[in-house]
Amino acid sequence: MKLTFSILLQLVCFSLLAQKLDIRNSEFSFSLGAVETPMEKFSANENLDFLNYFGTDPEYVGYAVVNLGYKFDFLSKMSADVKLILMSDLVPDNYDISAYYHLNKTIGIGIGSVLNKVYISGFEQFQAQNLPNYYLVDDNSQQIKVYDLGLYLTPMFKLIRSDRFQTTLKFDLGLASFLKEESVFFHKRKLGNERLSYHYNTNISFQPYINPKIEMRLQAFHINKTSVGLLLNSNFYYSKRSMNYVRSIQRWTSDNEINELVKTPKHAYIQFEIDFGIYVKW
Amino acid sequence: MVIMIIGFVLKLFFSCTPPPPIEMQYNSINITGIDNSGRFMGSYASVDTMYSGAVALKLTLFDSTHYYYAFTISKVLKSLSFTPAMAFSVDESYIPVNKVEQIIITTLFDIDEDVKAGDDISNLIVYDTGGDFELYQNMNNAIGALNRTQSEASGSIAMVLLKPIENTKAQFNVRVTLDTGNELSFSTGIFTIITQ
Repeated sequence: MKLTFSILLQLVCFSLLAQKLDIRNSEFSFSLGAVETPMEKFSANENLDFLNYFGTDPEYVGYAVVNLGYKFDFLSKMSADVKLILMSDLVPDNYDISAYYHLNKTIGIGIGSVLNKVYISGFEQFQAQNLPNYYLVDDNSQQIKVYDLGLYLTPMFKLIRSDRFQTTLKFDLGLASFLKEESVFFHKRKLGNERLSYHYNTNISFQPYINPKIEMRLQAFHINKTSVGLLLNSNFYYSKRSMNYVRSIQRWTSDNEINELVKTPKHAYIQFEIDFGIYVKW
Repeated sequence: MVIMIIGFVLKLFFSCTPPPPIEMQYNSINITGIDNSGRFMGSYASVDTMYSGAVALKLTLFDSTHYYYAFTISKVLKSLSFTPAMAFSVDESYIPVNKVEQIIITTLFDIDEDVKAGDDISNLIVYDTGGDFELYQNMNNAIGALNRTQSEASGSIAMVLLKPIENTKAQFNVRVTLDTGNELSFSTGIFTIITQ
């Protein structure tokens, strides 16, 4: 009951806000996409490099996504684009939200934020290989979920603006960082009493990226002022990324702790996405 | 009749709370060698041979009179009364009334060039909490573990030696001082040490 009342209240508030903001040309879209995220890998050295274990399975770099989009124009020259991205767990915890100021009918300038969920998997292999005289107490495969937050500026070009077919090009220029994450390993010396713990705390470090995007809309039919059509979106992301961390090593007891900031090399990171779906515009 | 009803109600009310821990007296001590050479400590089996870098001991303090009176009396009293009105059976717990104040460990054989027979090696011993995903702790925490409520009429801790033994034999004496002023002492058997 409380939840229902809360949702109703928010809808009323949004409706009032919408009236004030003069929301128009709304569009809801649903699309299915395929994403490839190859990350450059380096040979192992004395420090753990999480990005060498990038992905749900380091052997595979592709996955499918579901995109739910909502676009609208507001005020006199503004528009907004909200996209929720669902991965295989169907949790809408990835997003790409942006707002644009239209200088004229063809060119606009925007600001936005993007949050992508990535996985680092199987990095316990490094610990096991790097400390051969020690057991890894938990030798199960490890996986951490890391959010990649980006903030960007983007010029927007409406290349084709006919009633039936529209094409928009954007060129996101931004800074992105993996958000903080941590991982702990316990080791026990073979044929010995000694125990070690390795505690990794990753740091926030914003690094530049580019992400050109193309969006195409083909209207299939319309009823009154509501039109329905097909959409095709694609984007190409490129960045040089690293995941630095503070490593705390404790030997025997927690009293003996050594902390060290470890800077890892930058990896070329590409993300290519193409998705296809439908939209409803009113 | 009224008195009986009041009695039943009071009994029902108090039966809904878990029984308090049974008091026990630490009056006996036992120490065994345990295998700590593998990934996990084998604290449930005693050994007489250990690797030089994996010397570990299990210290057990217990109430040797427990089975003669406390347990029997408790059962007898229960048979004369109502069993607790619990939705599940509550395990009995035990609290030592005489607390451990100090644990001193002495080696009875040379460990290496620096640590000779008769030396106090308490500062070379750390406490294993029993958690596989934990580091060792200092012996003050071991004393705390022995003094808290136990699930049996005994308290046990595992201890490991920080130094590898450069000798083919090892033997230890452990003295536990209680807050009553009593001291419990135990010398282990002679362990065979596999040097690496």
